[in-house]
Amino acid sequence: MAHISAKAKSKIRMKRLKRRKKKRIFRKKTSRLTIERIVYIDYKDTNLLRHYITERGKIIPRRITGATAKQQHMLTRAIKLARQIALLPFVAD
Amino acid sequence: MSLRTYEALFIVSPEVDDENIQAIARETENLVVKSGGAIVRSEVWGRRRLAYKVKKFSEGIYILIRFQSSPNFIARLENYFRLSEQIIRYIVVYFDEKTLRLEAEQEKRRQELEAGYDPQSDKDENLTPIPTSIAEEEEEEE
Repeated sequence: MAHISAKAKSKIRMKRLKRRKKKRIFRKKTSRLTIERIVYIDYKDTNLLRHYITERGKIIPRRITGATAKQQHMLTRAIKLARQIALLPFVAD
Repeated sequence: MSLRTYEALFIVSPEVDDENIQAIARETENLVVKSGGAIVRSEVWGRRRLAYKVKKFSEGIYILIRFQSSPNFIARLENYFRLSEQIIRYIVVYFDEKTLRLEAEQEKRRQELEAGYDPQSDKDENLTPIPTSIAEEEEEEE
């Protein structure tokens, strides 16, 4: 067995910890909804809703848009209502 | 029976001419009023392209009516929409107290924004974005 001193061992451990920590650093996203202080998302406001669907018509997840849970809830409901009344597509191609 | 606020948005077939569109709007309003409800707002949006085909039409005339009525009336209204030959799609949305309040607040903010009020100048801690610098990846060497 190779002799590894306690000091060296802890050095390696620290390095590993450091590396793991570094990978988790991310920038907090803020959605346009927060910046513009939007408190209510209407299903009739297609111009706003279009920012939150992909070209194919899918709802963009909030990890991408940076919307808060509350905002995403309202968005989802609004988009789904807008789809029912043909303001937004279910699928677009 | 207490009154609740609803919004009916429906699409009229594009084959219907302008006079009849007005007639359909009036008819729906009358239906609400006769049941003891009240019209809050009534708008004809006009001809719009549909996001997808409805009953083989790719455009339609949107009519929006916001009204107050008893909840019992909604089933009757939906039945009317369903039976109408000219109405190709409809939705009725219920607006609860909280939603109405938020909507009013949103409208107020929108107007403030138009008046040139800058939301960024607002001193609200929750709303300021938190920038976190991304740490540079260092090379690890033994």
